[in-house]
Amino acid sequence: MTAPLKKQPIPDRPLSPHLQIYRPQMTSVLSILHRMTGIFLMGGIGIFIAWAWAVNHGVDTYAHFLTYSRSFLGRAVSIGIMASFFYHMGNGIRHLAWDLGYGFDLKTTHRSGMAVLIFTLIATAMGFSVLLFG
Amino acid sequence: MNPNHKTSYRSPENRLNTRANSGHGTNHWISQRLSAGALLGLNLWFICAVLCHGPMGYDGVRAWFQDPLSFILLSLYLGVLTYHGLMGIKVVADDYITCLSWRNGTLWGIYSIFGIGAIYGWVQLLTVYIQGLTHAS
Repeated sequence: MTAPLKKQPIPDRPLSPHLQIYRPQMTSVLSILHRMTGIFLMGGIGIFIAWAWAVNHGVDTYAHFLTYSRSFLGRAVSIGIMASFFYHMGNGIRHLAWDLGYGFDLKTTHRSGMAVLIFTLIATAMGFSVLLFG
Repeated sequence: MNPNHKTSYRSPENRLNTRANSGHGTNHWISQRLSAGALLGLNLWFICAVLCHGPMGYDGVRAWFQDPLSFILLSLYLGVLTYHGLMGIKVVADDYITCLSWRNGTLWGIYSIFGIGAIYGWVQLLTVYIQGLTHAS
């Protein structure tokens, strides 16, 4: 059996990925975006719960919920949630394809990344137009 | 046979310094993918349902919540969304919070808030659904 070692101190030097000198690339930027949108979407769960709460608490509470969601801040959050939702879903499909062993070469990775960005833009624009005029 | 043989691939330094998903990383990885697959289907259902119904108004949304299939799928959606989200938060915390006690404290705080929130949300869905049943009978 190996003897236990002492806990290693955290080194006093820049930790990977060395953000000070790291040139952002499509792969790394899309990866960090996947995490950021995932965290932002946790707020969407809160909105889902608030929606269910408003429906349960009667027509007046629901009207208040709609008033807040149609304010400037409400619309801004809606766009953010929708863009995060479509991006995270599109990029999630890309991740599942990688897990199955498809699309690993650099050219395909860049193409699929671009496809996810275009899908996010179009789907968010359509979603927001439904929200405004639907 | 050594009962700890499964963890013997990890060096003592690794076990001491990270303890990210000691012993059950594979389960976490598989569960995250399975919940992602389930969410793909549930997302498509949710988008289609919202688009197909169009503007519903209060009575329309309430009637939609009281439909048995909608109630089951909305409950599943809330549960799987929360589960998948918390798994993702754990991966992020494992990667960026190096101090183990801070990481565990942060994670349990987030688990508690979202766990209680999801149960509270489900109780709201259930209440609307039961009100529909009693109203119909």
